[in-house]
This record gives sequence, structure tokens and C-alpha cells, in this order.
Amino acid sequence: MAKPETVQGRRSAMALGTAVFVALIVLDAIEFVVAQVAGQLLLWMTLLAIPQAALILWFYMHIRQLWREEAH
Amino acid sequence: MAAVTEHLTHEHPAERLRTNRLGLWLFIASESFLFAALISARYYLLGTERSEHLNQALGFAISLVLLTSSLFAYRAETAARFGDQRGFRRATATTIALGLLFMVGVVLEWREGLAFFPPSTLYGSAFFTLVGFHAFHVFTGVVALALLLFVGRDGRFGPENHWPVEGVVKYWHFVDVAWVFIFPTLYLVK
Repeated sequence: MAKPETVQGRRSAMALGTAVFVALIVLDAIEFVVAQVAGQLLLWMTLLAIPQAALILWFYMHIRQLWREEAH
Repeated sequence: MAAVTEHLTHEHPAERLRTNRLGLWLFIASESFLFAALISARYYLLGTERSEHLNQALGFAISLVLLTSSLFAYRAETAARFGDQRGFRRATATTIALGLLFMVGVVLEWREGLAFFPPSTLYGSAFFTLVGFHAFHVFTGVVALALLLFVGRDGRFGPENHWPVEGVVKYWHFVDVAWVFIFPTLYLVK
């Protein structure tokens, strides 16, 4: 049987992944809607794409592992 | 040479993992330059001009598919890291299915694109090169995920041995990051 801390750690990792996913979908939808209604699209698209890339790099790709020691 | 081989053989697992990660990130950085060059070429050649015949809804739909695939890739990695073999296999298979669905969407988009802006036009050239280059990365990612699923069917990936899963999943996320910039560049900006 899995240790309680392992179960808890897995649950919180999965919850974090889902929260990031929801944020990505919301940003993507905003990007799509803004493209239909706004001007200055290059600026808007850049402003909306950078946070999406940052979320993936930080939470999904764990870029911080490059400079921080982690157990996994 | 012998000294290097001996050093690598006796390298501490944590040290090896750090080296593997650094190598993968350098590879990802080099790939990023390629995508950045292609995106820059699109703006250099066309400014913010965009074809009115592009199917934005389809582009948005395949974006959602790719973002969803990233969630399942993350779940596959997490499951492997915590030793959940069933969860790993299920999430990896779902990621593969979503990657294939994305490619079906690209094929549909190409069929429409060929009719309105063939590769011989300026816009078509930028569109097909960028989307084609990205689709090739999706294809290689799907192949890598399929290999992972095949190799990991005996439960070899777990808390002590999850680097292969981590490496492939990181590559898959990178493909997603590239699309995050390609989608507005081709489908939305005008």
C-alpha cells in the first residue's frame, strides 16, 4: 500500500497540473476572442502567448530544476 | 577518452540526471531558435498580413487538443514518478491519441489551405513551412511516446527510473510551447 505522504504528494501534483491546464485554456480562449474584437493584435497576442509559455515552462517542464536541486 | 568513459560509468545517478536534463534543455534551446527563425520569417515576409481563408475555429480547436495533450503528458510523468504504472500507461496512451487528433486537424487545415493559398504563394510558403515543421515535431513526439509506452509496458519506469519519461514528456511540452506562439502568429494576428 502506498504511503500517505506519497498519495498526498501525487494528488497535489495532479491538482497543480489541472489548475495550470485550466489557466492555459482560459488564456487561449481569451486570445481567440481578443483576435475577433480588438486592434493592435500583435501586441495583444504577444501579451497573451508569453504567460502561456511561461506556465508550461515553469509548471510542466520544471525549468527551475536547471538551477535548483530537487529530489525528483 | 578512457578517463571520460570511466567517469561516466561511475557517475552518481543524481549527477547523471542533472547532465541529462542540461543536455535536453540545450537541445530544446537549439530547437527554439529554429522556430523563432521561422516565425520571424513570417513577419519579415508578410508583416501582420493574414489570409482571410484561414479556418480560425479549426486552429483554435487543435490548440485546445494540444494543450489537453500536455495535461495528459504531465499526468503520465507524475504517475511514473509516483510508481503508478496503470496511470502512466493510460495517460501516455491518451497523449498519443490527442497528438494524432492534432495531426488530423493539421491535415484538414492543409487541405483547405492548399485550395486558397498554395505553397507557391508568399503566405502559403510561410504557413506550410511553419505548420509542417511543427507537425513533424508532433509526429516525432508521438513516435517517442509510443516507444515509451512499449518499453514501459513491463513497469520499468518508476520513482527510481523516470528520466526517459521525463525527457520525452519535456519534449512534448516544448512542442506545445512552440504552438502557443505559432497559433497566434498564423491564425490570429492581422
